[in-house]
Amino acid sequence: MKRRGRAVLESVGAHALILVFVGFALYPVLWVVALAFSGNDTPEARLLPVPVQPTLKHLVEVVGPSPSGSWLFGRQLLNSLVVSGATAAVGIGIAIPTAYALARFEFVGKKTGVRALLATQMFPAVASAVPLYMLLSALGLLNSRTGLVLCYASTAVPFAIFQLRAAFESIPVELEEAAMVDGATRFGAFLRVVLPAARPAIAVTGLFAFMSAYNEFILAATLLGSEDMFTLPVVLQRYVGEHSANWPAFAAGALVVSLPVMALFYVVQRHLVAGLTAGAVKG
Amino acid sequence: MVAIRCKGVAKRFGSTVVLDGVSLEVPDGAFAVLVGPSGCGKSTLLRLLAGLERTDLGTICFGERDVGELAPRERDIAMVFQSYALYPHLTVRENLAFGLRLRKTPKPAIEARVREVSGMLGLEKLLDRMPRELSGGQRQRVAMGRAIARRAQLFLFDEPLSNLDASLRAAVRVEIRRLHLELRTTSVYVTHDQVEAMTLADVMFVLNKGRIEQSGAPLDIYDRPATRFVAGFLGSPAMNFLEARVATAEGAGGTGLALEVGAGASLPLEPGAFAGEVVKGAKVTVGVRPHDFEPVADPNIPALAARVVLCEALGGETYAHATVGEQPLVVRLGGSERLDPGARLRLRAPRIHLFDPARGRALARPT
Repeated sequence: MKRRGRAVLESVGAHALILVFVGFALYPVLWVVALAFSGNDTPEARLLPVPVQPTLKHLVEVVGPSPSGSWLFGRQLLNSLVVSGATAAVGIGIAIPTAYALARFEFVGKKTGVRALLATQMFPAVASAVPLYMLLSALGLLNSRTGLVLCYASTAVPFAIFQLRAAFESIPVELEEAAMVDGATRFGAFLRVVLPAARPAIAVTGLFAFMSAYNEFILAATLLGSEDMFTLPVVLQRYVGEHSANWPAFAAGALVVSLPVMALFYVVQRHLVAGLTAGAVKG
Repeated sequence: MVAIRCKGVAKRFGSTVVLDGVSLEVPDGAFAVLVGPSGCGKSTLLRLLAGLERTDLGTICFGERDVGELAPRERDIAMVFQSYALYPHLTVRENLAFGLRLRKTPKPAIEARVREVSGMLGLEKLLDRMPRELSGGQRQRVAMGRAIARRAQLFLFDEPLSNLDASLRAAVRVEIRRLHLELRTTSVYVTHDQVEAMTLADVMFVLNKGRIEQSGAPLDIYDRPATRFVAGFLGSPAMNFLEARVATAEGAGGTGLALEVGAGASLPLEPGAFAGEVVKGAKVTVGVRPHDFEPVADPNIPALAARVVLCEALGGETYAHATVGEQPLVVRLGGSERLDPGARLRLRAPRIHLFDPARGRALARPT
């Protein structure tokens, strides 16, 4: 009896502690929610993040059709999703064969190539904003989704290569050899055995590429000129200007912007956990 | 089923010579074992047979067909890997069917084959499991099943038991032998474990430093090792080797000869202890297996005098570790016999091997 009481007490204590941490992590998010649904236009400092005069008007203001009648937000959301999705696809598409080659083959220039890739990671993307602007301008790709995807992919690829190379290296060569003995060509073994075995790592790498593109602001703000080309971070930033700040609209926008990423995380979370522990367990 | 013929096969990795002109023949339907210490080239030879590596020199033929230039998938072989190499994203059923599906076998035939193989290996209840949900022994059986399901003309085994614990290893060993007797598919099996080699092989190849030291039936090799290396590699505990000189000795059991081992000790040469010629005064390496020594109680019979260092009692038998002069010696005694450290042990050896001390070649073998 005494022992059971102690176990209950321990459990209550542990859960209380976890609740404190969850509250600590969620408090700012709750404030954003409260702000987004509050009727008063200027935020005030209060302890409890509860909406004042609850309303949906800020949400409608952000998401609803623009005064001209077109649904600008829809187009901007599409911009973000297309640019991020294409960045992930291009990044993964280039990184998979490169990483596989680095993981499995010896060839001239391998070391130098890896070092060069590593070197590109040392510079922040912002440092290249001006040259990128000039390049895209020369190519006629300024203010286009294609231009932005090319820029994002160029930063996503090296990171993806390193991630996937480690993943491919953790897959035993014998799996491919077994497939080749079983009747597969080298490419067939790659397609039927290596790729499926690396799926968790590929999912995680793709997710990271998607998210970094989805959240990126500086390049998007530099390279995109017209409102109908904006991606969501640029849209959000417009609510908080130098002279006036529409915080409730900003909060409502932030919530809407978070939804696709949350949905994506939910879909790939199984892979995410498996991907993060990949290589820990053999076989 | 197919016979294998290798001729002058050589392979090097960088400047390291792994195989140095290996020739061998495995008859159709035989179970061949390549055995040797690690680094002897046995796994490389298997990978050359599989087509996973290319030979630098020499030819490999399956039957009449030279397979040297063929990719693994064109050789009609099945292989069981040391790590089993089960496809982690496929169920047991899909693992078994993988090779058949690649070869575009019709679905009903695949299902029938999977059923047959899983029945043969007791995998019926595991068919829908993933490899990570299986124990080591079960994974091993799936790996075997995958090889059998293909009905390839040649099975290759790369140390398939080395990841199993001792009791399971013995059981699977028997299982492999049983399957071979049932299927009669030509098989090449690589191991460093002499027990596996001795029990499984129809024909055994002992490899050392990239060369075949000796080949033949396992018991023939055990009884008549061609070199000191083979003699020392097969048998557990290993054969004892004593450096000695052939000398005349009085009352040396009829031959008039004895082997002077040093430190005043000598081993009388008994008639019938070996077949072959020895030259008086020649230096030889004497090989005696631990169970070929017999303790001598009668002090009038000439015998080799050794001093006991310690005894290992294993229940059914006892191994006495002793020295003759500086040279160590292991002697098998009866299960109940015990000798204290420092005790004197007098030994005769009715069966001995003699080797050329310089080159290790066998000079004389037991009759």
